[in-house]
Parts: sequence; C-alpha cells; structure tokens
Amino acid sequence: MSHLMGWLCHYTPVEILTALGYTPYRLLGREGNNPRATTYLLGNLCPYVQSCLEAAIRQELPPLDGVVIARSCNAMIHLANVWPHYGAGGKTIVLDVPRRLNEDAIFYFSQNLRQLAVEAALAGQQRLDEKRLWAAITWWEEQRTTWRRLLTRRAAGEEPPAGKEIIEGLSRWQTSPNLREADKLEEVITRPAHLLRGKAPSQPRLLLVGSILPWELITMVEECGGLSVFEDSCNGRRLLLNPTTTAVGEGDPYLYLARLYLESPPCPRMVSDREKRRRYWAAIVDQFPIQGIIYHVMKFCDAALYDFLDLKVFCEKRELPLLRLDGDFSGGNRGQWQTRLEAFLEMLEVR
Amino acid sequence: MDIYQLLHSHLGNALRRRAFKSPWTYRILRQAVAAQKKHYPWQAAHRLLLNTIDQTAAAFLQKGPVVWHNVFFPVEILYGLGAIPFAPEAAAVVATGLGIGGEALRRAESDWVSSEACSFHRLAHGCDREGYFPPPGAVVCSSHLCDTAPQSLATVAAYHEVPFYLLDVPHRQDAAALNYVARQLKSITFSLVASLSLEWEGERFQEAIVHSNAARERLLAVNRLRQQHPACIRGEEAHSFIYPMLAGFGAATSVEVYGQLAAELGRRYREQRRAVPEEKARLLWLHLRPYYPNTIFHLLEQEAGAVVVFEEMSHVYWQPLDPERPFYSLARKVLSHHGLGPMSRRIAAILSMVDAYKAGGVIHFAHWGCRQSTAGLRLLQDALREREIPFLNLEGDCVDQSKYAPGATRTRLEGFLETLL
Ligand code: SF4
Ligand code: SF4
Repeated sequence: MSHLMGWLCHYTPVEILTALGYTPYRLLGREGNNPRATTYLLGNLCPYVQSCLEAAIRQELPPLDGVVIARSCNAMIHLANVWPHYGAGGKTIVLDVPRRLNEDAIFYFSQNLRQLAVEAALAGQQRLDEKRLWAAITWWEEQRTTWRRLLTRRAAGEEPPAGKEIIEGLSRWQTSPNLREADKLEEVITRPAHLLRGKAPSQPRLLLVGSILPWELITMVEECGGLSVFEDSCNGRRLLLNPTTTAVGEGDPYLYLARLYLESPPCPRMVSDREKRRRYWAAIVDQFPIQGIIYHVMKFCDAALYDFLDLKVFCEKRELPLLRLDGDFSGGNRGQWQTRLEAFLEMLEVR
Repeated sequence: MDIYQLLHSHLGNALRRRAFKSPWTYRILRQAVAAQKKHYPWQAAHRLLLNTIDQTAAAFLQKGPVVWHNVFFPVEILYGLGAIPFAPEAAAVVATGLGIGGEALRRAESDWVSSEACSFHRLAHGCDREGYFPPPGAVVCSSHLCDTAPQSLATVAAYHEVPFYLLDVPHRQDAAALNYVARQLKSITFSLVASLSLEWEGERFQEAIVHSNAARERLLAVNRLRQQHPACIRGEEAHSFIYPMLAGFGAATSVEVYGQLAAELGRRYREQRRAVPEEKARLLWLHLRPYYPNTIFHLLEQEAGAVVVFEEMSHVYWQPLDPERPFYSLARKVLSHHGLGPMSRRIAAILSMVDAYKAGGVIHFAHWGCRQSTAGLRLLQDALREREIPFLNLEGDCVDQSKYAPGATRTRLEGFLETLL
C-alpha cells in the first residue's frame, strides 16, 4: 500500500510529495452538510474546507500519512489550526503561499518548498535527491500536458466529451490511491477521450468560474441544455497549471516549482494579480467563443465574493451575459439553481 | 453634545456629501469640539477627536496625497512619507455613528457586494461609491489576518484607477519571512514615492519610527495602569483609544494622546476614582465592539459592575522599532502579531492578557463576516475552559445596526454574568 499524503489547495506542489515517495491524495470534500466540522470551525467559513474536515471526522478518508495545508486563505489557515486536534491524524504540514507574483515572491516560495520537502520526508529519509524531484516534475508535467490537450480540444468544440466526464476523470486523477501506476492513470486520463462525441453540439457555450466548483453544477448545466466549455476553477482547468518557459532539469527544482505554480493562471486569492486574471478570462472568451458566464460564489469565500465583482465589470465591458449562483458545496441548492439556470440559458438562446 | 449629533446636525442635509469637502465644515466642527473641552470626561479623548478632525480635514480637502490603507498595514510608512493615511474600516465606524451606515450598506448591496462579506468593507464600499470618502491617490494593504481587506481595497484601487500595493505577509516568523516582508515594505515605500511624486526625506521617515516607539511606550504605560485593581476607566471609554492603534502609529499626535491618557489614568488611580462604584468582575474583550447605539457595555459595566478591563486590540505585541533599520523592524512588527500563524499564538497572548489584567471572564464579539477572528475560537474556548475561565462568544455586527437584537443580546449577557458573579 502506498503512502498517501493529503492536500487541498492547488498551490500545493504535489511533485515534492511524489518525489518523497507519497501518493498525493486531494481532499475534495463530501456531499451533504457538515454538522460536526462546524463545531470546530465556527462561524461563517468556507464550506469546502468544512466539508474536508467533516470527511476526516467521519473517517471517510483513506488512511493518510498526513496532510499538507497551504495557508492560502483564512479558511485554510483555520483548518491548519484544528486539523492536528480533530482531523484525520498523521502529520499536519503547513505551507505559506505568497499572494503576489514577482521574483521576490517566487524566491520566497521556493524556500518554503525546500522546507516542505524536509518536513514531509518519511521517517529516516535523507534529504530529497534533486534528480528524483526533477523526475517527479517531468512525470507530472506529462500528465498535465495530456489533460490540457484534451481540455483544449473540448473547449475548442472539437468533438467534446461532456463536462461531467472530464470532471469525474479529473477527480479520480487527483484522488486515485494508485496514481503512480502508469497503466491505471492512462485509463483515467484517456477514459474521457473514449467518450468523444460525434459532433460539437450547438448549445450555448459557457464559461464556469469559481474558486472550487461543485461538480453537480456542471452536470446540471449540461442537463439544462448548456455546454460547459471551460471550468476556471482549482479543480478544473487551473489545476492543470501552465507550462513554464524554464527548461525542466536545469537549475534549482524548487525555484522551478515556485515559478510553475505562481505563474500559472491565478486563483481569486492572488489579489494583486487581478490584471492577469482579467487577461486570462479575455483569452478564454476570445479563443473559445464563450456566450455566457456562470460564476459560482462559494459561500463565505471572500476571494470569490470580490472576484465576482471583478468579473461583473469584465462582463459589462464585453456585454457578456453573467449569472451568479451561490452555493455551499453540499449539493443542496439544486432547485434554486435549476430555475435560474434554465432562465439564463433561455435568454442566451434568444440572443 | 455627542460628537455624532454635532456632525449630524451640520452634515445632515442634502448637501452633506459636499459638506465633507468644505473647509468650513472642519472649521466649525473644530471650534464646536474645542469649545466643549471641559465636558469631556477624558481630555485624551478630546485631543484624539480634534486630531481626527484635523486628519479627516486634510484627507477630504486633499491637502496632500491620500493613501488608503487597511488597519493592519504599518502606517509608520505613510506618516514617514508625509502622505495622509485614510483607513476605510475606521471611517466606516464614523459613518455608522453619523447614521449613514444603512444608506451605504444598501448601495453596496445594489453593487452586488455580498452580504456575506465583512460589513466594515461593505459599508466602506457604499460610502466610497456614494462620494462620502476622499478619493485615494494610492492604496496599500497588508494581507495578514484579514482576507476581505486586500480584496476590498484592490477593488477600490481598480475603481479609482490608482496603484494598489499589497504587502504579502507569510505566517512563518523565520529569517526568510522577515526578509521577504522587509523587502516588500521598502519596495512599497519607494513605489509610493514614485507614483505619488513625493519627496523622500530620510529624517521625516526616521521621525515616524521614533514617534511610533514613543506612542508604544505611552500605550504600555496606559496598559500597565489598567492592570491595577479596581479599574479606573470603563471598557466603553477605553475602546475609543483603539483608533490610534489602527491608524495612528508614526504620528506625533498619537504620542500626545496616549501620553495624556497615561497621565489622566495615573491621576485617577492616585485619587482612587473608580470606573464603576463597585467592581464585581473583570472582563477581557476580544475583537471589536458594535459602534451604533447599544446597551452592551452599559449592561455589563454600569448595571452589573463587570468592567471590561482590557481589549485585545490594545495589546502591544511588538518590540520597539529600530530607526536605523526601519523596514526590517517594521517587518518584525508585522510578523509579531499574535493573530498571525498558528492559533496557539493568539491563545497564548490571550491567556497572558487574562493573567496580566486579572480578568475573570472573556467576551469575544463575533462580528458577522469576520472569519479571521471567529473561526478558530473553539481552540480558545477549550484553553479557557481548562483554566475555568468563563467565555462568551457574542454574535453580532460591529457596524450593521439591523443585525442588532437587543433582547437576545441582553439574555446572552445576563446568562454569562450569572456564571461570573
Ligand atoms: S480556491 Fe484558491 S485558495 Fe481556495 S483551494 Fe482553490 S486554489 Fe486554493
Ligand atoms: S472585522 Fe475582520 S473581516 Fe472585517 S475588516 Fe476587520 S479583520 Fe477584516
């Protein structure tokens, strides 16, 4: 049985975990309410984070050697506080992730990553060999490249598989306890490709945006007759990062990783990187003729609450229809979402 | 006359937005406040008010470049540059006092600012868009503790099309973190000089550091006096002196205010002038308080004799700054905040306050939307329970009066007092 190491935020360089001999296992929360987690994480806090804690308390997670919690937002910071007391046991490793992008931040992040490699090392393990780390970096990059290719083809309307399939595939890819077994992985990535459809349908082409998107939203969009073309979320396209211009295998691998993660399309938490985020939206809208945007605002996610305002300005400037749906990650908003979605899609079809 | 009534009578007309931009407003206000000097039970509060009027006037009359900042940003930098600091969270408190909170919150709502966000920032958004706040020349914000502030202030900067500078504060307190923060502070300082066309004056910058240290010394003196038994200042009165803590370090005026407060407090202790006739319990207050009219402190202090002897916001958590190494020592100050890093730091700081001020109970005011202060309270609750210190998490909103339920609040406070007295 491989050693599983849990992680949550997509700013966690899983390459380091792989190189250390772990199988990175993403905590993606669970369906339903979180009554037990809310007794430990009080108040109005991100339901994704609460959901992950709930899963741990209910012992619904596979046995983990530990968990890496990136202190990327207030909710994660608080999760890092309570996890050692009420979480799933094992090590709790916290990682500081800068909220800005410049050479200084990249350098600082690289120092934290070096520290992460030390703190996460298995008992008796020596200093992480850089060759192993480069090998893990290469391996992950190959995986992501395959995914990116598939998602780009789908977004471009070249025989797209359904969003639901993609998302299920991505979920399995992040949580497979046998991730390192190449044949199984191949299966996970190529499975959606087997489901390619004959012709690109003529449904309204949508961009879905949010911090982390609940899967049932994508399913529902498609059930209601929309086409989820691109998911700008950290369990969707942002998860796949962007390739860097730096060559793999040269220089400091920690610096490489810091650059890879910080330079990738920013999450709403990267507050001083908003201009880059706007350019990212513009590129998606232009490249994959987007007809409407749906923003899923995760309850109590301050980053998403304000990111939405920015997107609203963006949409007004481009005269793009925008629908805001609020959710608590529990799958409990179906009725309300459906009515609003149907009205939105109808409006798009009339346009 | 209450200062807000005074302001209201002057500004409460259709032209009040314009009134903020008229020098006459501040002249009249200043004269009126100055004339009432002897009606102020604390001369330090009177001084603080005059200083605040002056600073507000400077911002509204654009007597220099106005730089918006959040309350955790080290404002010594702004004073050191000769800029006019403006803290929207603090201004939201004034707006609440002036009774324009409802209008501002409605505006924020109509602009789609979610009601799940902190109401200090929602209110500030509304005031800004309604033209109640002075427009910024630049915006600076620190990322530590609060997630809303950077998001909200970045939105302000984008709206006014002015530069936004984020101070990214990590949670570790090691050398790498220190250097990372110090380098940013230096870069923000010189970026402000360039973007606002300021004159860099090394001496003025050093002076701000010296003022900050002097204010710190005086605040420490105030805090030492507040540790004495029985209390000579009520928590409700002491709360007004949080303002310099949030926006005044680096200004000469804060040295003056804390100095005066220390002197007055010392005198009252010598004269044995008690805060309440009979001190029955001593309380520690965590986070902020509601700023609209409410009876919380009256009930606790005047009715029940449970005096709030200290508030977390007045805790001096940092070491003196080194004028020779301003950026490095400001970075150390920022990283020293007890709310940063693991919750165990905040718990340790709170327990040390409980001991120092001999508090028999702790109240946390859980401001709606403030995740940083509230979410981790379970661990604090456990730590206090272990020491058998009664704890109340009082839910409410600091600035949104519509969230205030007087009956329910009273019931909760009375229940808490029963465990205490
Ligand atoms: S939304 Fe951003 S901060 Fe939150 S988990 Fe995803 S990447 Fe991390
Ligand atoms: S009350 Fe909390 S959320 Fe609001 S500005 Fe203050 S720290 Fe931020």
